[in-house]
Amino acid sequence: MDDLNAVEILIVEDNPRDAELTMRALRKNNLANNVIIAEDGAEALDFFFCRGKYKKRSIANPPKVVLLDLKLPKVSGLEVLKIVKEDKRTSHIPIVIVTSSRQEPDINEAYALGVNSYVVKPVDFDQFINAMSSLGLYWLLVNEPLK
Amino acid sequence: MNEVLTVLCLEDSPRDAEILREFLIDAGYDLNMDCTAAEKEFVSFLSNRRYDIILSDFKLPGFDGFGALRWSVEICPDVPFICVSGSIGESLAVELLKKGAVDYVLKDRLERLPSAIQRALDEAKEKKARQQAERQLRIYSETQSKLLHTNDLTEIYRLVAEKISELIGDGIVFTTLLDESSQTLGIVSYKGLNVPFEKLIKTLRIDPTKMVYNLKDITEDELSIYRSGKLEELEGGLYILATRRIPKTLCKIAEKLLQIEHIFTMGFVWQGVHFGGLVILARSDLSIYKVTIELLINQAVTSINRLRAEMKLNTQYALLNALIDSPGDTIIFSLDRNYCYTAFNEKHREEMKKVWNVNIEMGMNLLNCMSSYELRESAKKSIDRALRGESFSEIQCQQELSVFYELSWGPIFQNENITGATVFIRDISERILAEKILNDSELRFRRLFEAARDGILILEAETGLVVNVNQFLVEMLGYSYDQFLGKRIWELGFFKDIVGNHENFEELLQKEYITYDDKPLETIDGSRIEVEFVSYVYKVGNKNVVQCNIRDITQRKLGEIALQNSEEKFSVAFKTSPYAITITQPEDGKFLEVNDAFYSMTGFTREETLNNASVGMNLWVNREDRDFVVRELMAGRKVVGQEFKFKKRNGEIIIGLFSAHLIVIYKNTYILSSINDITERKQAEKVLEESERKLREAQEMAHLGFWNWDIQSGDVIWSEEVFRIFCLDQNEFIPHIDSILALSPWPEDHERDKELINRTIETHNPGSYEQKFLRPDGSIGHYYSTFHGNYDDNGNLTSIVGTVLDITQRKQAEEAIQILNKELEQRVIDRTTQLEAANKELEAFSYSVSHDLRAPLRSIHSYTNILLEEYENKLDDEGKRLCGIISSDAIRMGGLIDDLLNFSRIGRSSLNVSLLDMKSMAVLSFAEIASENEKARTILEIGKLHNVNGDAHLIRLVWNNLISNAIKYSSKKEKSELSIGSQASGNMITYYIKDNGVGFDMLYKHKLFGVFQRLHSGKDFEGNGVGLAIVQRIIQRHGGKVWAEGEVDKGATFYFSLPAEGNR
Repeated sequence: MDDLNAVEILIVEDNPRDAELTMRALRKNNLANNVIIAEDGAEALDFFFCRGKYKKRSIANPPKVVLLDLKLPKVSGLEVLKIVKEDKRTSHIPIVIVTSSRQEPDINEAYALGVNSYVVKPVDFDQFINAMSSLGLYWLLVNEPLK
Repeated sequence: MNEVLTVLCLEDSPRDAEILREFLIDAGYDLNMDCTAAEKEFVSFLSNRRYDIILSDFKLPGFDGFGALRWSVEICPDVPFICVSGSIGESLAVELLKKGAVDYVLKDRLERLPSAIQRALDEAKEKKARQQAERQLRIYSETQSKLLHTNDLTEIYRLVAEKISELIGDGIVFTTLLDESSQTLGIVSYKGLNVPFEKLIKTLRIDPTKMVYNLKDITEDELSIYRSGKLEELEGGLYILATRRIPKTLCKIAEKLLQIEHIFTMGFVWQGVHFGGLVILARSDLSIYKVTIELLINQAVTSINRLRAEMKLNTQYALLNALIDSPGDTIIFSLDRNYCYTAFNEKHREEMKKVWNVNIEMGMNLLNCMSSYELRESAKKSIDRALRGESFSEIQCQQELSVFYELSWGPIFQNENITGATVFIRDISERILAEKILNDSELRFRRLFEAARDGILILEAETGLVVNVNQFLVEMLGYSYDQFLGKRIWELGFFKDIVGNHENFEELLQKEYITYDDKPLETIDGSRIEVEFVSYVYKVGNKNVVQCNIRDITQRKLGEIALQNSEEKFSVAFKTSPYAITITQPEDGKFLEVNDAFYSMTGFTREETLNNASVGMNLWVNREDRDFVVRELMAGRKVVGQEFKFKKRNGEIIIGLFSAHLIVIYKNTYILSSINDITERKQAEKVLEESERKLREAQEMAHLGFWNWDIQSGDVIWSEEVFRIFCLDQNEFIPHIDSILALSPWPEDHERDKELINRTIETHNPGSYEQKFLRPDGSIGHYYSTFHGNYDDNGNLTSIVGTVLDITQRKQAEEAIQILNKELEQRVIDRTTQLEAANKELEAFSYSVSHDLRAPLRSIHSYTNILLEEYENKLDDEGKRLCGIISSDAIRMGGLIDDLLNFSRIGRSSLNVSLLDMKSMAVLSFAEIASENEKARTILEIGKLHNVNGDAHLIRLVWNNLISNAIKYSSKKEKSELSIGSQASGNMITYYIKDNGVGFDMLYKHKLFGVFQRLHSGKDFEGNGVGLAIVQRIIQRHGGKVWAEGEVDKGATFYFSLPAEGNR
């Protein structure tokens, strides 16, 4: 991904295997061209607010969707969600929590913080591929973003 | 890396072994390596030394890597096993890993070895630490609950010591308890002692079963014997851990005994310890157990404090019981509000056995012990009165036994509430009897008085007022009663010749005995009557009275002869007198005449008496008495109202009130004497005195004092016990109604108590109050006072009487309990905080599990599927099958993790209890769970289902699990038949679900409800064995039970019960 301003999907995922599988699902649907992967919460925040290695990015060109894991190094997914949703510049960006956790407190808190969707990663491969594909298709092709 | 690494290397090629050694040293390990190629030596190394890691070649002479692995797993399962070999092929390598090897390193790729070793060491360390922590937690929680329920001090010491020994595990453990106050060494347990310790035990002549030794008893000699023993046999690292409360001297003794340089005190202060000290001797480092040991000891201290408090309370109870049992003849017992015994004395127990043939016990209902309806009702009435706060006495009598009881009832107050009633029952038959006898004799006198053929006049000696006059005199003189009564004798005109004025009366009093027969009286119609006037003075109570006997002697005066006829000598009164009257000769006491009363009194017949002599009949017990009487009479003195002893015909001794004077008949002098038998009265008096003395003693023993406040005079009388309770000197302190109140140093209390007393005066109800008082020495005591008023016939209050009971000890016991309760509450709060913390940790743990365990599973499943998709043409059928297994097992494990998390969550979440409609829950559950196909092939029968209180979410899980099980296990039948119902019995409701499925063998019923326990293979029926465990956990959390019955191929029935009255 060279053009940071063309990013359509931001995947925040510390597990390279899960990242690869997600990419694979997106690729199958030809959605993998403008995808960028952040490996921890801090990097994700840098991306959102155009800091550090994303200095050159413009905040005026938001991604169409962010797939955010909960359990992340440095800054946790819920913390990222909270900061992004509290900032007027970024609060409109659709964020989907994609996590292994089916813990009720997590789901409750995520919705309280204003998450757009909450998806539990299935263990089953086919289900996983299906889930990721539909997510990509929906947010990139079906959903009408803020102009 | 400069750690020492102890390695056991199994390698047949010395060259390879050398390469391995060089390689590891190069990698920075400080190496300590044993090397062998022989199986036997390998085993012996394993058994005798602890290694950090085992490195094993695969191909070995005589055996192989699998054999080595088996030995290492068997002997030291915690030591990581790494296979280092040439290529052996993947399948063998996987097999090794499956059997417990932690890693597999190729000899030509040794550069991977250091990281493999480090990883293995880290894992082993982590595993060990986890096991250690789990074990500590288990031991602590086991001990905690045991300690909570132990009622034996030595058992607490033993338990703590035993558990600490268990905690520390292998190694020498020698636990003793040192009681600092008595310097007593209690050997509580020891295990794994080596030789020197055995010697110590022997030298000190310690019998581990005997428990307690006094260190002071160990002599210098014995110490020196021990010192000469070879203590250096102890391998280093011997520690004594002791609380810092162990006195220095004890530490010194221990140091001397064991020749140990250092005693490390653990350095924490036990809260409120009276525990003495705890000494643990152990060969290994105890620091990792420090927290658990501290917890254990804290728990023990709590239990010991609790026990000590209970023991103190028991002592108080024993004291109280002793007090209750002491007053001998008095029956005392107390009841609670349900008429059940809370205390009773021995006397009462005997009485209940005698009267009702019941062996009473604490807590028994008094009313149930009484088989008579009437008596039960009357007792119930009295108890209810006392429970309403009344203190009162009543007298009950059992006529046929002529037994009288006085029952004093009173309420028991605790914190201003009436919690029960006390009863004091005294046998007052003797007192009643004495009163009755007195009444009888008064009656007799009254009869004599009224029936006498003499006129009798009773005067008050002090004033001369006529207080009584008999019918005969009234008729004789013709005046009315009113003309006599209330007048002074000299004011009665017709006595002017005899007692004409006050001076005459004084003379009469002085002479005490006067007789006239020459002073006639004038009747109302003016006629004169010749009379014989006799007056004498005697005491009634503490007052003198004058009795005047007036006999009409007109007849006698008119006809001397007629009067002198022998048979006429005696008046009717003589014959009918209840007093024995005799006329005897002064010389020998020969009887001239006696009256009937004499016969009945003495038992002699007329024949035996007349012509016989009192001396000869031995009538007088003491001859000197008679001599004295004769001497007195002859000297012209009178004998009046003297007490003498007389002997009856049958030898019985009686006490007689004896009066005599001389009379002249036919010019001969005789003694006229009368004897009034007062034996019974004397006995009654004695008995009365005795019973009063007993009562007084009982009060003293029961620490019960009495006070009496005379309202009119204002006088207050205290019994000795009151003075004793208040520690005041009877001779110095003059009680006043205010002074009893003034003993309390708190003025606001005075007002309250005065108010209470005033209310008693106004309302006529008995009252009571509890009060603090200040003893002269400044200490504070407590007393309990009950009181009630006495009233005259017009209902005016004449006096208030009350009791004072010293309740200082009871109060102190109550305070002790309150303090104890507060401490306990604090402990509960602390414990709850700890539990909450533990729960939080578990929460975090399951959070990680759900995240981190699922991610690799997803990888396994996904990549296997990618393999299948993208390399399909490169895999043969077997390869595809294997990939399929990997993939399906990963899914299954995902399910297992979810179930396990659910299971652990059920144990922790709190219950939201509401009333549940079980019928609709069962119906909904079936509708939700069964597929259309299954619904079609199922015959469902739902009977009555009781509603019950429970957590809706959890109980739904129970239905879901049980119904889905029933459907699943009956799916192989042509039709599934399910029957659901419930039954209430006692306070539980039992629900059942019956199916016609494959059933199970009752032999394995204990496995049904275990986590991951299955009775059927996954091939036949899917499932992972968590469902029933969840059911059991939910039902147990609701306070119910779950069980099952079944038979192979004949269906199964699952039952669960829930409390009908709801639950926590």
